[in-house]
Amino acid sequence: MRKLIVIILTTLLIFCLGGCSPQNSEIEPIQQQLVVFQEKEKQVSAYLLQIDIDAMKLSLNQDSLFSFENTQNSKSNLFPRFMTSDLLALRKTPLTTNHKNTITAEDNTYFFENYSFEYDKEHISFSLYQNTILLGDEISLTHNNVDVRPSSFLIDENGNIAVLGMTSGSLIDTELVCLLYSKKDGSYYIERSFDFPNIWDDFDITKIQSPNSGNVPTNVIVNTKDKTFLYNESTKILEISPYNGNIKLILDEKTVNTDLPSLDTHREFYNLFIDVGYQDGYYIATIPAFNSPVGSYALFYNHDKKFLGSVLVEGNSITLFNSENKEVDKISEGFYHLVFIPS
Amino acid sequence: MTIILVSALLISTLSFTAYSLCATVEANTMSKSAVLQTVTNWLVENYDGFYHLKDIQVNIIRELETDTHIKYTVALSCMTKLLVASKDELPFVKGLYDEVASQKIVEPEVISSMTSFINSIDFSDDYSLLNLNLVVMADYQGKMNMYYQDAMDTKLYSLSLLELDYTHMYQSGKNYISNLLSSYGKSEVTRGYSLYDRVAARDYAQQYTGNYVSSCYDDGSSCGFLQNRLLWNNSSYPYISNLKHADCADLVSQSMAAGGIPVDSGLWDRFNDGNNNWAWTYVPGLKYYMVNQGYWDTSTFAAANAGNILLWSDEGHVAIITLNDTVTHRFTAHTNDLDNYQFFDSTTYDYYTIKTSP
Repeated sequence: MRKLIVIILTTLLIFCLGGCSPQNSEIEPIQQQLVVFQEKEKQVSAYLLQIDIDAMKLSLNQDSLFSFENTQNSKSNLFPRFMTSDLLALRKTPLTTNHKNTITAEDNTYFFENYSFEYDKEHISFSLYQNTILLGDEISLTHNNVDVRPSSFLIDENGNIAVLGMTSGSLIDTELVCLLYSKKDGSYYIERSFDFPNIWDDFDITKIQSPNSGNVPTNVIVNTKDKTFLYNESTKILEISPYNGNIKLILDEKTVNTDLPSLDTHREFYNLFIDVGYQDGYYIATIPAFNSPVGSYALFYNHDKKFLGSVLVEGNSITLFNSENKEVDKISEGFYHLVFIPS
Repeated sequence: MTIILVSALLISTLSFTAYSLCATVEANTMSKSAVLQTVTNWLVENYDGFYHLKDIQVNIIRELETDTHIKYTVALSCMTKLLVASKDELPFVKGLYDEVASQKIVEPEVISSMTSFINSIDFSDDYSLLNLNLVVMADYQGKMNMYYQDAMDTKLYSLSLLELDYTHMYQSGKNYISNLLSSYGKSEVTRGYSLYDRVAARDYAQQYTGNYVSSCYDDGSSCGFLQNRLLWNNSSYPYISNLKHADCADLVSQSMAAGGIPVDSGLWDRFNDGNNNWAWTYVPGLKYYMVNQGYWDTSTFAAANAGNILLWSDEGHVAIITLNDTVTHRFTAHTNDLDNYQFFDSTTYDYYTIKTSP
């Protein structure tokens, strides 16, 4: 009898170890998310699209995330200011929402995880909140005695605040800066800062698409894993470290042409990338389907910038392509060409 | 014997290669001339029911070879003049009148809106420039498919969308009245800018834009964009290298300023409005400023006319509308410089009008 019990316990232990081991949790599918938009009965509704990169499968949540009255469907009318599973910050009050925590956010408020950052244009300073708790007030935003307008912020594991922004001044004078704040004796002070006067020529990018702020769709997001900023200049996506000021080129037209050789990127205007996102170690960038019927691609890259596949959202379908650009899954339903990347 | 055989083989190989090269060249040459002829025929057939045409020019500006076909981008340009002698003869306007008559509409606001619309039609008894690009996919068996290349969003569309059709224009006129009726009685906030001179804005955009087909050069190397900077208003608005050729919003802002919209120091102020997201030169910043200041009102394909705004909904490009005679609609834009390029009603566009009266 004792022998039987030992055998049963051993079997259970082996089963449990096998089922609960860390290795098994590591191979859980990585789900990427996009938000797509559909027009129905004078409303534009947003839906969450799940992309299983390992299994190469698409699934579309049937319940809409939020909806607006069908007016003009520009990017700035539809795209949230910030979206995670914990918070949906919209630019205007929606008709309906199914997100547990939906707010209408002011232009001068930025979000990161459960932190919010309120920029005061009058006093060139910001306040930092964790949930509703004030962590710092009237923290100065200057670099070498020049005002800085912030584009994005992050908080690292040590509680430091990093801010990416542009100094004020004319287009010729303004510079991209990165400020790193630490806390001492209850107050935040700038521990380190970097400016990048040569970034425009070094990377051959336009200053008018410099990191923006407030009232327009953001062009800087945070890589939450590495605690860096991803800046979408629209022809190049750059990653900027607030700790050492290093700049890495993440994506450009040449890479896109190599990874999607059938895409003809010839265009009449300057912009190539619409948006950039970062989810669980994966980079995502959206681009229009140039010289094709109306649609947008979302391109997926791993942390080592290896191309993993793409999703094409167009008028009557959503199609998933693998890294060899072979179609692997499809949803036959019509959507707008605009695609939002949640954080 | 071996030498003779090798020589014969060599000669036959060389001859075959030479023949193949000639055949390829001939096929491509034939194919190109066939492409140009087909595009010219389409142009004449499509437009000559509505316009007098002159100075027709058709050129291949891009060629892309794939395993299955050659993709030609063909630039097409001509001068057009409406065949009709008055606005009342336009099919769209006939649709307006017939709908008002058939619905026995007497409401003064609707009649006034209609009259105001008719007055604003960009009707000219002179010739106007028309530009557009078609994409021709020619396979190696000689089969051709043609598409319209929309230069605003760089998409390919069915050529049927450009086909000029009397019934469609007439029905669009009737629909315009139905839309006016559905908005009748709804209070509207007075916006716009009463002093805006949309014709001056249009003329400015056209004066400082050439329809350029070859790349500009910076420091001796090709910049990759099709710009003719010699035509730009360099004395009033000098080009600076920080722009890196991205100047579509710059042209729209310059044109609106020429139309009388006042420069707003630090807020809509070329190269000095960084605290307002470069509202003069950056498309999303420009849109936000103009909408929120009340200059731009949402409009429609049918209503948006010369001097008003065509914006791509991705906010990656913006242009000045230069003609809406109800038969065709055209815009002028910078970055790739395009003058009087035809566009059609697309879900990828937003239209904005600067109202000059309540």
